[in-house]
Amino acid sequence: MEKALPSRYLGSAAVTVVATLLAKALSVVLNPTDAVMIYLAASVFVAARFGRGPSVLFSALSCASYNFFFVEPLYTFEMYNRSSWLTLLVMLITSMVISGQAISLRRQERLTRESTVAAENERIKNLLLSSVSHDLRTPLASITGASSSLMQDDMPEGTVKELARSIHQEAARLSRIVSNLLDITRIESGAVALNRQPYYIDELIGAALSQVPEGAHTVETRVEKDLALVYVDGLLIEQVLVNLLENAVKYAPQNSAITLTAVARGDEIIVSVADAGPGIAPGDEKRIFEKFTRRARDKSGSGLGLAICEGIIRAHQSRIWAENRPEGGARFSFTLPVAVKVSEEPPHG
Amino acid sequence: MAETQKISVLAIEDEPEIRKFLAAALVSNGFSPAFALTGREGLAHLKARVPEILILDLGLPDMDGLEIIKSLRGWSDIPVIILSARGQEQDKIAALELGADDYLTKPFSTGELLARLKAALRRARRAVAPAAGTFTAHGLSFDAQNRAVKVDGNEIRLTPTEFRLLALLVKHAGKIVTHKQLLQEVWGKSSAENNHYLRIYTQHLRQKLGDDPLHPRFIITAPGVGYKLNA
Repeated sequence: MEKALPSRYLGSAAVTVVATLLAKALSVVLNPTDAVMIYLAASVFVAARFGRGPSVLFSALSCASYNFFFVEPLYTFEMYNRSSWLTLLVMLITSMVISGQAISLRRQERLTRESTVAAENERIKNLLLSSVSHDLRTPLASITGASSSLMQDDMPEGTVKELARSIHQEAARLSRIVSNLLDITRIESGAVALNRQPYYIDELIGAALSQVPEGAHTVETRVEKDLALVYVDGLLIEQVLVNLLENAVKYAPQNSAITLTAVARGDEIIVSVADAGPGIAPGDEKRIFEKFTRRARDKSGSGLGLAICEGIIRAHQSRIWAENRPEGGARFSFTLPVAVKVSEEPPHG
Repeated sequence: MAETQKISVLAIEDEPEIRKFLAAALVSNGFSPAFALTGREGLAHLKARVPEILILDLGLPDMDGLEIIKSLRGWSDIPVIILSARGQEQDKIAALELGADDYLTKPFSTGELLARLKAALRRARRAVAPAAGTFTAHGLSFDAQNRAVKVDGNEIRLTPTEFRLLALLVKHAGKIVTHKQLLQEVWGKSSAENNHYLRIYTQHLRQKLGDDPLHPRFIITAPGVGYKLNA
């Protein structure tokens, strides 16, 4: 961070004082001209740290201090010797040149840094665009194709049903992608205001389970007894659970069990969703929470589900992580804060 | 449909494509739909002739849909189904508190729409029927007069607060009752912010009814909104 200008000038003056004290202290063992070296070293520091203006000030102050404290007659701004003038002049010029170099080095470094950030932003933007346009175009193409076929005359009944079904399916997919995009944008821009309330986690799990069609899977729930109330945005945590369950359903092999557990750990509750699928490629445990990351077999997802989970959990100042289970398959876990102890018994028992 | 008389429904919806699909779905399922394109037009229609059920889009161009519910409730109790966009959670809650019966989040399918309409109509008819104060569904029977609650024929003993909570859910069976409504009616006005009372008592009530919150049979959780008794 750049400091305010006045404090940078003050800093520069302070360095002059320190350099002078140091040089004076060492003057017992060093030649007076060696003090010049100390000032020059300090000038590099000032230039790198405080920039051009303060650096010019330092050059002037250090020359004056050198003259005052180290050139005969001491403690005056006068000089007996011509060579002292030369020393002073060389010191001034060298100090200015060094500052100039240090400053341009500093600017170059900043530019490089900025351009790296800009390039990274550009790369993310392109990735987003290409991913989104592909994700949106595919269902749109199916919908356009199927609906234009429906407009033709003499379609056999069976075909009409099938086309209508495919339009419905693809529109649902499109709707999911758009919702996910809006969610991730809202979460990333920090526009999500949490509506935190106390909840029992089993209620939220129940609400999430009712939204996920189990299909050929069974969801086994193991929720510890008498868990404390958690203090969360119920709707958003329900969404995290739904995303994790849908993810598990997608990867778990047919007829395998998905396990959902909730246990207390100190003043947190840890919720996990585990599947018996192929697991996560080693080294990908963090990357899968990034936007537009799909696991190998996934073609249908928007690559945003886990990023949304991560964003929601982060907004709760909690943690989410993924790991492979020793017995095979992936396990996704997140923590939730327990509600601050509330008054024991409500009124009117 | 079994009924010979078609059910009159008014839909206040400004999007022509949504109107088109509503019309097709309603007509082919035994409803007689009328449409209003703006809130003003809808209110005028409602004042002239009250339909049996109202479908109301919250995002109208000329006025807030909530205003329509507020003024409609001045003269009619017909069921109101809200159509809302995703993310309008606060509007949904406000609509429920003003007396809307249910909501559908766009996009929705014909099947969902018809299910909601039928459930709301069923509720409306039950409310008019003389058996008020009693309720039976999914093995739960509730009798307000005798303060009797049974699950699968077994008597359940409830505390006064648990009973009030269940009675309120029964009164609105099949409809989401918001957290605020539950807190205010069961614990009184000053408790509107004390959500944990509600959690703790709902948990007690569920335990006594043998209702597993993970797979609820009676009390359905709507996170961030409220609870609903399965009707």
